[in-house]
Amino acid sequence: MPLLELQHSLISALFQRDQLAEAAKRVKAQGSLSSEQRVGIYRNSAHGILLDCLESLYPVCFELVGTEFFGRTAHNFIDQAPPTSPFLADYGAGFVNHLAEHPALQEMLWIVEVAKLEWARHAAWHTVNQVASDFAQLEGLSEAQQAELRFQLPASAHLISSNTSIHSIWLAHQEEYPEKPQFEKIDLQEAQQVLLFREQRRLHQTTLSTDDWAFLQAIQQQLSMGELAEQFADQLPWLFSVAMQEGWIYSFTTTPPA
Amino acid sequence: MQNKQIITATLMAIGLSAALSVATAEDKKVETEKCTGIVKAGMNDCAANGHSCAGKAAKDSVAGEWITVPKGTCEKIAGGTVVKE
Repeated sequence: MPLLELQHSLISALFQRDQLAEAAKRVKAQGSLSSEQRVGIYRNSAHGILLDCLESLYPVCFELVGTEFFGRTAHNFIDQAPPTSPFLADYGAGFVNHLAEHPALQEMLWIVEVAKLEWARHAAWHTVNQVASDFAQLEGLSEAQQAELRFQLPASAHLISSNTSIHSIWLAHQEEYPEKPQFEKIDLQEAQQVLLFREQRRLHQTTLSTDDWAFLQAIQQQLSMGELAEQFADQLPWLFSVAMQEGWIYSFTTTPPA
Repeated sequence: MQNKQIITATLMAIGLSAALSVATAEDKKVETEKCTGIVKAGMNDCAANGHSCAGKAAKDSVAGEWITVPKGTCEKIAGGTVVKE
């Protein structure tokens, strides 16, 4: 059998239980271990690593649903969606949709919302660093250029709007926050808008007011300074002040988006 | 306010906030040093002792595993040795 075919056969066995016997035909038994058991060691090892990975990506969901449910759901997910990238940090995005489709969670979709937040935290953490603009250069712009200015959030920024109090639920499950809310007292139906972004080695996660949310969405949609002035009128200087001081705005351009 | 006035006021607000952020960042700059002999297993900052990188220290308080601390702190910690660079 060509090596490539042999490798595919083994990979199939790792992520499809019913292919295990087929792959085992090419493996010798040794000592007390049958050939299927020997292939099974590789399957268990691959699943174990990916289960650990999913547990570390979704620690609050893990706590919310418990070890047994999480383990069973994760093993099904691993079989359905094995890694397609050699970079482990790419793995696990699809777990959110997998949870969303789980019949047992249809009455508790707030858990899926928390999973979305946890994946966004992971994605924000692994975003490539970027160079911040020098805002002193704004001084030399003409009036026309000023009206065409467009601003950017940090590349790692995620704006998440949820009909569930995802930020409070997440906080309630963090050991290192002494003033964390008690989970039992959280109103799960409270809608929350959350901004996530990474600043060097620190991940920021904060809830936004309705005004700040609308403003940052407009920034993300690449509205020009002229359009922002139309939309937010005399609130605009204040909205920018807060956003700049909080580190929500990272760069600017005078070039219209393509 | 007219749009032109709003834009002028906004650019002033951005300029002030940016200047404030730079000043705060300057204030926050702290001189640091590498400190060995005090690191808990798995909590080291970067490569040393034959392993690849941060978080790989296998035992507590091993010489050669370091973390970054504010300058002057290391010599105040029992077992701490400043790494000469």
